[in-house]
Amino acid sequence: MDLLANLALGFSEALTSTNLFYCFIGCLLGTLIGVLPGLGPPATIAMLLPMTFTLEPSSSLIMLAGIYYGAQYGGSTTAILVNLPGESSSVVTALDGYQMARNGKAGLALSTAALASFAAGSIATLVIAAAAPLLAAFALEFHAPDYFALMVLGLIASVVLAQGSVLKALSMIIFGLIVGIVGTDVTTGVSRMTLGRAELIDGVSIVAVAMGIFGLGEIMQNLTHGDEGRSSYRAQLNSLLPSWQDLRQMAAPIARGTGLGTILGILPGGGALLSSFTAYAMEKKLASDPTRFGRGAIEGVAAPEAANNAGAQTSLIPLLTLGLPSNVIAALMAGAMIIQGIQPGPNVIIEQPTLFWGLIASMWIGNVMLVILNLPLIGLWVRLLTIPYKLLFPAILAFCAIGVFSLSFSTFDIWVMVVFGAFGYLFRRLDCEPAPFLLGMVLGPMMEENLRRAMLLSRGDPLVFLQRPISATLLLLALVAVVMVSLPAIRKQRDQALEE
Amino acid sequence: MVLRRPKDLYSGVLFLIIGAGTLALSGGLPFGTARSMGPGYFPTVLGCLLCVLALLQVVKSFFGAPDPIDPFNVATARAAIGVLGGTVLFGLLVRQAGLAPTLLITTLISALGLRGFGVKPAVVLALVLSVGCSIIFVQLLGLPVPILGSLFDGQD
Repeated sequence: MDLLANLALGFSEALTSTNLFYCFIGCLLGTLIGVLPGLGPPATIAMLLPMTFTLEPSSSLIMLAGIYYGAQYGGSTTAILVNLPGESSSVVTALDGYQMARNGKAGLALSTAALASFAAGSIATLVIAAAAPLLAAFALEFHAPDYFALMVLGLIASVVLAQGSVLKALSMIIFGLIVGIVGTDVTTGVSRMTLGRAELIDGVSIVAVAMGIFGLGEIMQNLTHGDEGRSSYRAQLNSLLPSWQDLRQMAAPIARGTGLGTILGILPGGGALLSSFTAYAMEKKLASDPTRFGRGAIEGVAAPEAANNAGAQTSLIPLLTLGLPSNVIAALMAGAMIIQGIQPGPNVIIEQPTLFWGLIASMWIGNVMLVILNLPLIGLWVRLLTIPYKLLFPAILAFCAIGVFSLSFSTFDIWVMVVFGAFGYLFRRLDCEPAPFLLGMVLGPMMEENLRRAMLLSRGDPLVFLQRPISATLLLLALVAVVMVSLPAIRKQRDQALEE
Repeated sequence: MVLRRPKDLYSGVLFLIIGAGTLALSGGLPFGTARSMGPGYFPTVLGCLLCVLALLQVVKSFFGAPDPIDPFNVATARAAIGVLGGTVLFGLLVRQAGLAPTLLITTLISALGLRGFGVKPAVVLALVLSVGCSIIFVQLLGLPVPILGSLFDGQD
């Protein structure tokens, strides 16, 4: 019964006309930017983040959630229509979605993606509502060594999921941790690695860094990849509505994808990417005729889209209950919460129940809005896709510059963006994935603080991490993950699964 | 010894510079003990770890399956100059010149990032972005940046 009362509280907060308005604006802008080829959800969120700063805390988080779902859905639209996945989790959608579009079923593919996302989002919202209070209560059992161990596991998981070299991903994490601890040392008040700049005393702005890496870095990457960034939309849009038989065909894959995504999303470092890949692989295994996959199988769109959305949603659970962002998106959300004066963690649910449940309710409302918004507006998104990249990138650049400048009206943030834009481009060319870097940057200060606290309490005995059952289990999992990706046989399989 | 994987070598060198830089910047900070860590403890440990990982990458670049790097050529230089240069100019100009003239220049410079952009489309796009962003961000959203900055005060 608590669940219903809590949800009622949440809906009474989310359904105020102001919050509904910001949820709508968030979904609209998120989809608008997310549809543009070459811009994934992290870049979209980083670009739109400054717009939420002036709002009330709950309105700003609700708008942000709307932006996130919009960006994700926009990414799927681009993947289906022009085979240009904006981010890795919609790569899978592009496989069969684009083939469906080429077979003249673009409308059906888009509505399948929308329905799958909606169904998965609704169920995942219920799961969060039911699980979050329990996990938040469990989180009170978490002490410094456990937090440290959980962060290690999360960072290692992001290595496992990064494509390519383990060494490079580890290096990116450590570089991220180093950038994360620039600024005043919380314990002693000493300035560290600030190069004598007063602007760095509060640390490096994560939004400026994210915009540099994901905004400017991606523009340069697209420009040098020749024609890849340009639109080539040709498919015809026909009926959007699925037939009764289509609905029956997609129901089971959606259910399976949702279940898988919900569970995998909670894992640190998991989220949308792992969920969609696994769901696709599972459908292919279960299908009576696996050869249909890759040629426009409706299950190949329904299951990954459901898993992707469910995973995206439950990946916010570690942030909301433990205060630990488990992927780049959650990291940006954490940054936004801190700017609003909310310290993410188990206390949010106790001290600010209206905000917490309002956010959860607005997740579901965001999903409803996406369906309502996208079915009539799909023609507009299609028109957007016909804009050549040549005309888009200067506009994206201008939005990034204005967005970063409006953070605190300091030109220093612009220099930070330029420096990390250069880094982002360089790293991409050297096959170093930027996602682990950003996660490390967010976790850096928390990791150091918990390490210090744990060591202080144990009087300098590092065995404390193995004596507490929670931290020992988490570290063991991290070790297993490292060993697994290092073994050549499993490595090969992972690379195949990520590429397939 | 043949360099087989140039990408590993370059990333190794890059991380080595970052690691060494971290050690140099945090070297003067009190290190403390394992029980009571000083502000220099964590950065020093991270710097050392990064150097070790970097050296492993350098070593690895001479072994394993060959993996050539995409050449850095005119196109890469153009993209970097257009995008990064345009953004730097935005930072230098926006306070004094105001949003509209700044965006005009930024867009023209960023158009250099792509070969064959053409003068006419670049000028049209610059005008559209400059006017459009001034209206949306300054007039409608109330961004506290002048459309025409103090540079233009005495002139008209």
